Amino acid sequence: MRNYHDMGGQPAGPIDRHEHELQHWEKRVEALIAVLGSKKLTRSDEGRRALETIGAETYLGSGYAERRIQALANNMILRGVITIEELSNKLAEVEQRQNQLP
Amino acid sequence: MSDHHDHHHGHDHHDHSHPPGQKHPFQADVDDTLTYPRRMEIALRELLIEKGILTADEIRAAIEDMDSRSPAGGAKVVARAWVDPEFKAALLEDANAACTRLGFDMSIRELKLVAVENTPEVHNIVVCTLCSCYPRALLGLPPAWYKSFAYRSRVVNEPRAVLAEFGTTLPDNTVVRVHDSTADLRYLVLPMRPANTEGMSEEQLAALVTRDCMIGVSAARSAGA
Repeated sequence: MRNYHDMGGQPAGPIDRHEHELQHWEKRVEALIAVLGSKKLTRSDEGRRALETIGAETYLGSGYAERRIQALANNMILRGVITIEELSNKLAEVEQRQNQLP
Repeated sequence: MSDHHDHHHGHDHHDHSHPPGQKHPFQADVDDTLTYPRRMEIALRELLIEKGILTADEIRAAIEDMDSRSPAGGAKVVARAWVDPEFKAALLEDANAACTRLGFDMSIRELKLVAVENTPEVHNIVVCTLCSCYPRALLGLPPAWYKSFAYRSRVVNEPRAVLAEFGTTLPDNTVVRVHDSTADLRYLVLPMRPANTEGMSEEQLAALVTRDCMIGVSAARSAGA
């Protein structure tokens, strides 16, 4: 069965050729992947595998950096670099900080 | 407005204060919504730093390295191949070694790079149908369209229609080869040297080499264009 990411040869519309300057947070996603890669804590094929199991809705409905960061987080949990609890606590902290801003 | 602190000016700290009555003096920016994936980036990065896995300096250095790589790198390789037949042969034989010889750090993520040569008979195009693999060491980050679902879907079965969208028309008898990249194998197209460039310096030639012609969706700029 064809997975959602395996789109070579599928029908699609015209290509949007607009240039898109990466936003800073998108660069940080790439930087995180690069630094973890240099420390042998992630690999590009591993990143792709995580993207391929992230679910069609997330994959097809997210921007590139958006799905990459979620795939990376999943891989860090799978590798035991971080735990689900640590990440969900940190996410809650980030959200709380955000809510406290004026 | 909820996300001054991380997205507008790249601060790593969230506890800085502002003089009373003074608002953030920042220009309007589209990058101002703290969506779930953006919170995830902040959370993951902070967690990894807290755990001592990586440092903020390493992130900064990686962004600088990223910003330092651009299609100008690939253009230098192509121009050298155009003027130096020995280098060209070496590039087609072992692109990693040839580019390392030119001073490029090809060690990132230990990828194999293959250069494919365009000729009047054969035109090469590169895609990554499964994701976005791209020769970043030489070209920098891929353009948005390279990662787009439309390009990934269509270029393998209707390359000429895709080329037409990029304004590229090939003779009917030219063979079109589409190369699908993988996590471990990346491609660089060696475009044809434009006509009437015999007297040009390597530097002048490099200026004719665009990102898109090294992906294979267009030809190199013509001389005097």
